[in-house]
Amino acid sequence: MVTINIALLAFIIASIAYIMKEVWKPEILRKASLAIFIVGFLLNTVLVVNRWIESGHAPFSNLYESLIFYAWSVGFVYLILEYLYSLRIVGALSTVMIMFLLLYASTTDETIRPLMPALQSNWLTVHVVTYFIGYAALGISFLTSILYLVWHLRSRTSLAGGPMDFQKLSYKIVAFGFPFLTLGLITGAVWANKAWGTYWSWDPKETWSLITWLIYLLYLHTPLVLPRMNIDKAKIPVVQSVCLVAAFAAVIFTYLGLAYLPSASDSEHIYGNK
Amino acid sequence: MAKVIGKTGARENGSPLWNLFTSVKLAVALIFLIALACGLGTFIVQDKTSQEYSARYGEGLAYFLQLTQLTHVFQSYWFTLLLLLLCTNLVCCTIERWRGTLMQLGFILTHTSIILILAGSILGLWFGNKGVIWIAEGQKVEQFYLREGTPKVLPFQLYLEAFITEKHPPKFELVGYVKDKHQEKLLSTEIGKVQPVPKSPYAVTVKDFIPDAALLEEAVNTSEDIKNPAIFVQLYGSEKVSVEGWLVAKDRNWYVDSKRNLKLEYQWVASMDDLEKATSTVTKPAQPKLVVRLKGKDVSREFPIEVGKDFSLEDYQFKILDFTLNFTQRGTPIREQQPENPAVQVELQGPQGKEARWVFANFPDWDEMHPTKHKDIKLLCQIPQDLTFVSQQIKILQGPNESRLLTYIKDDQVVEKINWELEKKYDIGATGQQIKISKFFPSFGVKQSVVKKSDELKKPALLVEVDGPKGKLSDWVFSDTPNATPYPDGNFFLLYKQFGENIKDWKSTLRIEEGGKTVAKKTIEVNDPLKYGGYTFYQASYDPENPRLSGLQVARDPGLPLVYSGFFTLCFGIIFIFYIKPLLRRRPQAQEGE
Ligand code: HEM
Repeated sequence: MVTINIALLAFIIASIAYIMKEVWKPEILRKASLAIFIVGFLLNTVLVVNRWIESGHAPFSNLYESLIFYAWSVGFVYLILEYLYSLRIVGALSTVMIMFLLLYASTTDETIRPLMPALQSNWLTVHVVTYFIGYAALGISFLTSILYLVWHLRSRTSLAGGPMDFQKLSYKIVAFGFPFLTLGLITGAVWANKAWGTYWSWDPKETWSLITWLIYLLYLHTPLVLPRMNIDKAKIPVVQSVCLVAAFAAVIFTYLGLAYLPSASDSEHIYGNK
Repeated sequence: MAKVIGKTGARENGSPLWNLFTSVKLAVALIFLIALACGLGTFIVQDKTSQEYSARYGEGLAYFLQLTQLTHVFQSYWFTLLLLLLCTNLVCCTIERWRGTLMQLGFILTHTSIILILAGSILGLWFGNKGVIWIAEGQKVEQFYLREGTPKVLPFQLYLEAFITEKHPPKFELVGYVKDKHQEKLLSTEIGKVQPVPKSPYAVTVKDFIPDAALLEEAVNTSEDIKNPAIFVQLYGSEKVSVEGWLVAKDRNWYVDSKRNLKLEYQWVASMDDLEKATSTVTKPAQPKLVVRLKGKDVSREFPIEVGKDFSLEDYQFKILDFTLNFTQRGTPIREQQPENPAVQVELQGPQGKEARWVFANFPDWDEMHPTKHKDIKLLCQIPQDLTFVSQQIKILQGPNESRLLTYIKDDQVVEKINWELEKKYDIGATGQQIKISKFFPSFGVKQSVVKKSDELKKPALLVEVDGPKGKLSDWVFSDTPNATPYPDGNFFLLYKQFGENIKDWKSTLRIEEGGKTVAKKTIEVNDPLKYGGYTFYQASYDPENPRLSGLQVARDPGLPLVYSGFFTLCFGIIFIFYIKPLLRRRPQAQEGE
């Protein structure tokens, strides 16, 4: 509990620093904000590792564990992307997203419970880790799409004058995350086959992971299709950004919303569906 | 991209069909439709019965859903058609755009992978099968059962040599429940930590913990004034005490011993006169009664329940066929039955014909749920509280100023009266048995104490202090009681209970025999199956009722190699497109390949 609070504090300071940096642009804040972010990230790492040791299994077995791990993944992917593409203001938003996840985690039941036998598998670890890395990248691409849309609506121009092309950046981030999403989907199928003898059973969770994957697949094909359709060239990035926002809604639904499905009671693996 | 557009647009021999199947637009449309279908397949519950659909969605919509196969999307013809169209689209696209350059590797691999996976799954669907086996330790099976229940013969014999279930050590949790907020809060069991329950006026502190606790109850006398008189009675068979216990005048003041055909009763009387009265009148014990009500006519009559007796009411004849104190113990002598589920069987004869009906004392509405011929007749079985079928009775009477009387009653006749004294034995008629009243407490009370039985974590108990609007209160909560412990204001409850899946793992040692020879042997567990002869045996479940019984899943899937190679190509293709290709592209000489 203490660690999670200090981590939250670090992320709050980091997000303030990120925003101040964008407004006043002193060089020192750029380094400082990143440094504070890294402190928060390390604390988040402590949270995950500690949990792993305490429970004796990879910490993804309930909502609390998966949320702190998702928060960690967002931090991890953000640092990689920051290194690759220098995300600037996206840093502030990613920090807010991590804070939100940690706050959410702190309201959920954190009791350690024994793992059911099907979950005691290395495939599970690979499956979940790849999925969350993917989800983290897609989460950040969601943020960049939002930035694109906000900025587009404000300036009413498609590209000119913008500090950076967030739509292009979004595509790159999805391109980074989509392979992880695919690996997650496939390792999930392999694991199911190992545990139950069926690689695919159209369980709601499986089906929704497939839907999510298909939506991102659609997005990846939009550059091939949209230019050939009868739409204003300037509108294409807007359509793509909207597509990404909707796609992330599917991720969130797959991750957290399935308990609300009428078919949820038939499912084996939905959080909050004991 | 412009290059591609020009190329496709300029195709001369492109028939409209070919153009359609090579277009990415179709691909996008198909992918969108498939995603949509998947979504529908989760929002509409799948594979239920017609009745369930009608109940859930109404007749009209249910009919529509069934007609369009939206009730089993993933097995529907149109979903299969969509997948086939996608396959065709992929094949055509890939052929059309094939240029054989390295840069296209990812594109080719990903697109081929989808074809491989779909082909493999179709192969599995047509030529594979899946089923279950329930097998007991030491047993042999030669077939398994498909989902629909049809048996399928195995080309070998499968033996279960051993079945082990491993258990986690039990874990317990303390839960606080705030009633008016419907709010549950998991509490720490750390000793000495004050835990306020959020958004409520309560705070909980665990004060003590016993891993294996038992509750001891001890009788004590709390005062010398007559507040709650009680006696300690012992029955002697030969020389030894056979039964002993407390009779409390204002509470549990009787005891029935059906084995000895004896009832004991203790009464405290206010004066000498009452003592006389109580001994001169022998009240016949209350009898079970059958109440017959004619619905709509406002007629209601009571009849004593005596097996074999018949009687009539208006147009109806009744006969008592059978009577039991415990429905599941029917057939054993009634004196030996525990009065747990009393029931009477009645034969009814009336205008609607003849029928026999069981009437349960504890379930008066049984007949509403199980309608009978005579709907206008309501039968009720009434059992008096202290119903007994014994013919001997001892009444122990006591009053102020040392007035004490013991009466022995046999077949409703007073046989003997004795002025009893403490610590003296008296014969009970000619039964050869004796009675002794060895203690008298004017104010009977019970002192409870919690003791530790062992150091093992078996039935733990916590001493919990709750602070709330009614002050501080300490109480023991036990893990083995299903009832919650309430705080005096009736709004806050504590429950200490075991949680979680207790089973850690199940392991079956399987042996396969073919032509009398053992050809394979393995101990399987969840996530680690046994493979032999194209069949794979998975540890799937266990029977909580029967620890010897192992549940296996059997699968034979000849499409699996194709599917897995599709998985592999897909992974590699995607990694190539998104991680390798960008690296190659950075090198100028690779640019030409595009
Ligand atoms: C398995 C998932 C799929 C992935 C990851 C994928 C990925 C891609 C990528 C990255 C490209 C661009 C190729 C390049 O620029 O080198 C592409 C092109 C294309 N994809 Fe897919 N695709 C997938 C599934 C499909 C499906 C199911 C179809 C439908 C039949 C399809 C049809 C096409 C077409 C027609 C092109 C255009 C190729 C070109 O312009 O050379 N793809 N795909």
